[in-house]
Amino acid sequence: MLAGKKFLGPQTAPTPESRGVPKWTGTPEEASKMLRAAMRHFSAANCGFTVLDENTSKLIYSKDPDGKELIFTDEVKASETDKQRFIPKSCKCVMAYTVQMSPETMRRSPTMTGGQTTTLAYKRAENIQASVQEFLRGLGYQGLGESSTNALGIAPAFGVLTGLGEMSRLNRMISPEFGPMVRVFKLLMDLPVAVDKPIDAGIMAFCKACKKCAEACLSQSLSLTPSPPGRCEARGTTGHKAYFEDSVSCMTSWREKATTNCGICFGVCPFAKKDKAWIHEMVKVGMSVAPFADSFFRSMDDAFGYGAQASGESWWNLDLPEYGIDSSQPVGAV
Amino acid sequence: MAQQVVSKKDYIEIRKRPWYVYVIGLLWIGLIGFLAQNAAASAQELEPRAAMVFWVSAAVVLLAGVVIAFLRSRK
Ligand code: B12
Ligand code: SF4
Ligand code: SF4
Repeated sequence: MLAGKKFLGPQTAPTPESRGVPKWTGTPEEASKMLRAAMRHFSAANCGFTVLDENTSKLIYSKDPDGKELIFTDEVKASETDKQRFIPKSCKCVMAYTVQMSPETMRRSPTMTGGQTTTLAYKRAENIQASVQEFLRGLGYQGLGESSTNALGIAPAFGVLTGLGEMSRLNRMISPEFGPMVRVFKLLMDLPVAVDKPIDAGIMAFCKACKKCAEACLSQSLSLTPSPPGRCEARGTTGHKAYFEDSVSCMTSWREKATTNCGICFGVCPFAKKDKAWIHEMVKVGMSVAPFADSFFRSMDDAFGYGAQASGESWWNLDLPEYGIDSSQPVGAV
Repeated sequence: MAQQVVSKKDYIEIRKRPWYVYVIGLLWIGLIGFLAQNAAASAQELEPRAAMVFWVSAAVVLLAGVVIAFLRSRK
């Protein structure tokens, strides 16, 4: 597929107009179901839906990384100029989607092997975005994507609102199926879809007792407070429940200590482990029904050696599946 | 030659095991299966320490069951 991210997409697929056929119509439920199947086929781990309202529109950036302003408009067709990108108010359906990262490379952070985990997932996300934008175009709808990696809006926020996962001590989203080992992206559409609800799988509650990521961080950038403070003193961010991190010290340690990007905190997280052993499912059920046992689960996680960092060298000897991910993992919403 | 009088009777006592012994036996087999699954799956997950802990636990449970069964049979 065509690589490279574009707000409006590659714009090459024939539209229903050009083919002389009516655009696709169906119920919002049918549309969601169809998109979920298509997204998995394009190699997304999972996807979920919500709508932009007065509140959630705030999660769309006012400017993209290239400096272009993002402006909501009454026009029906999305467009862009040298300085602005126009988002039709009709494109109010948000699809958030996740792309798996290889846990075996991430647990080797901070090394070059660990660092490319990010790049590889971003490359795959480029193809996914272009594919779904073309798919929507073929159906007669618009899909407005990230003009460059991570543009458009706050990804973990949309991930949480669409029920793909919960916020955590990482100040990032953790999904029940893949843990933190997913990157999150978003797309705006004018195709009406059935929306999803945020979930409570006991993940953020588990973070209260765990703190493993914060203890492992090179630069003590993650919060050690028992409960999410809900306000970030450094950035003045407020209004949502989160354990805020010190992003400046995190980034500084990438430059000064790690010399590559980092993800130690992601690799050590108890939710990062793969899902083959039956015990993990039992623990997940246990932590959602018996949060008082969370500290015990955290101690057991240490005792069993989960989340232990591995050497970059040893990665070359592993026999791993494509992209180093398990694509057979079922997801709740699909 | 003195005549041998056979007055002693031999009994074979067949004792039925109580139901809970079967339940415990099943639980024992289930536990070993569970531990072995976790051990094999942990090896697949590339978690060597977890795999080792589960294999050792499976072996200990297996051995404990065999020893208890043996001691009970001697009683
Ligand atoms: C800037 C940035 C960073 C910066 C600063 C982060 C920050 N908080 O500002 C630095 C360099 C530190 C960073 C580091 C990392 N990042 Co980063 N980062 C981003 C980026 C590009 C923008 C985030 C942003 O807008 N921050 C500014 C404000 C909003 O930050 P904030 O107030 O602290 O809010 C955070 C949360 O509280 C939440 N949030 C904000 N508002 C709301 C509202 C609601 C309702 C909810 C529920 C949540 C929520 O989202 C913010 C996420 O950082 C996003 C991509 C994107 N577009 O979202 C990736 C992103 C958040 N990073 C990601 C990752 C994986 C990492 C790293 C592991 C690096 C790596 N190897 O990939 C580390 C993790 C460090 C850590 N644990 O803290 C992933 C997270 C995936 C996930 N599972 O959630 C993202 C989404 C990229 C992606 N496309 O997947 N990152
Ligand atoms: S990415 Fe590295 S430095 Fe940043 S918070 Fe995570 S462990 Fe700490
Ligand atoms: S390591 Fe523990 S505290 Fe950190 S995000 Fe994972 S579960 Fe939460």
